[in-house]
Amino acid sequence: MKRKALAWTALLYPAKWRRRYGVEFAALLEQANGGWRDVADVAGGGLMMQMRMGLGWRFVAVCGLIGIAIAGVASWKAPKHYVSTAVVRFDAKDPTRVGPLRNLQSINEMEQQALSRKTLSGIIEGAGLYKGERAEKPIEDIVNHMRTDIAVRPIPSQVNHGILFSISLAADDSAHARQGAAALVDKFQQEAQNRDAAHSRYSTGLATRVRRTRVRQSGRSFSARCSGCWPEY
Amino acid sequence: MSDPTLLILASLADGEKHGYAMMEDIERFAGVRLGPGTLYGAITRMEERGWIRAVASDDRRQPYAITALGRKHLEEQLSALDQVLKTAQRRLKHA
Repeated sequence: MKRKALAWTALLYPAKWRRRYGVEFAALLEQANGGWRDVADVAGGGLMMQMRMGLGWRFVAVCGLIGIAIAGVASWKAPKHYVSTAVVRFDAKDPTRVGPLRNLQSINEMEQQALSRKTLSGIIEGAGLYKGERAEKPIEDIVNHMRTDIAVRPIPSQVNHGILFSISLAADDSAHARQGAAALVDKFQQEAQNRDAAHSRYSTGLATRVRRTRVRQSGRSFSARCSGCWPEY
Repeated sequence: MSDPTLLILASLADGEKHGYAMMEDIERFAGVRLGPGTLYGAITRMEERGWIRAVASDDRRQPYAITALGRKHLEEQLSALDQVLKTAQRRLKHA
């Protein structure tokens, strides 16, 4: 196996070099018994020689094909990854009374509440997320893992009477990503409503509406209407 | 001491050798195992520079011999190395 690998690796050398040294080099490879270390050494020597003698088009083409093959295998082997992103806007009917919800701090405060251990463990169990891990790890570890899969990002907006941000959840399964993201949106909505109650001064001036949800899947994206969406969506 | 050029010249200093004999000899006297790719990369460069030459042989294993130019280069390198060694030893004694 190693001898065959050595013989194949020797083909990395330029044809011109092989015409001069090929026979004696093959004789040396038959005698040398360095295992995979020699295979790596011969591969390195072949590449260096290609660079010294100028890269032939065949070598470049072969390297390109090998690169494509490796990328294809890596892509096929890599676990599928789905990210579901919901764009959420909390809107105020009275634009003059929305102050506390117009800044990053308000999003962070809602995020802290919405991503609490209790909330996330409820979503994990309700949506059936991380089934494999749940059998092996304590719920605290899974909650921490889920926090790394969640991204909440404010979106710069020209709208003066609301806050706009996105909630993303990554999962190995598109349905789980979508269910989990939808559950997170619900929690943010509840939290916004709770904040309204807590800040009664503004409670009458706020309305929470989910504007739009979408799921990105393997580079394709599509939008989905949702209950509670604004009429134009 | 891992410069393949110097090791190969030192190996050929006492007579012609083919690639595998050089690998074994170098491993014996310097404790360094040159891989086939490293060895033949150095042989290619050294033959181009005229420091070694291929010796006629019926064997598939091609023997090489050191040339006068190669011997001169080896002497220069050893002289420089000797200077470094002496300086280092002197400084170690006084340290």
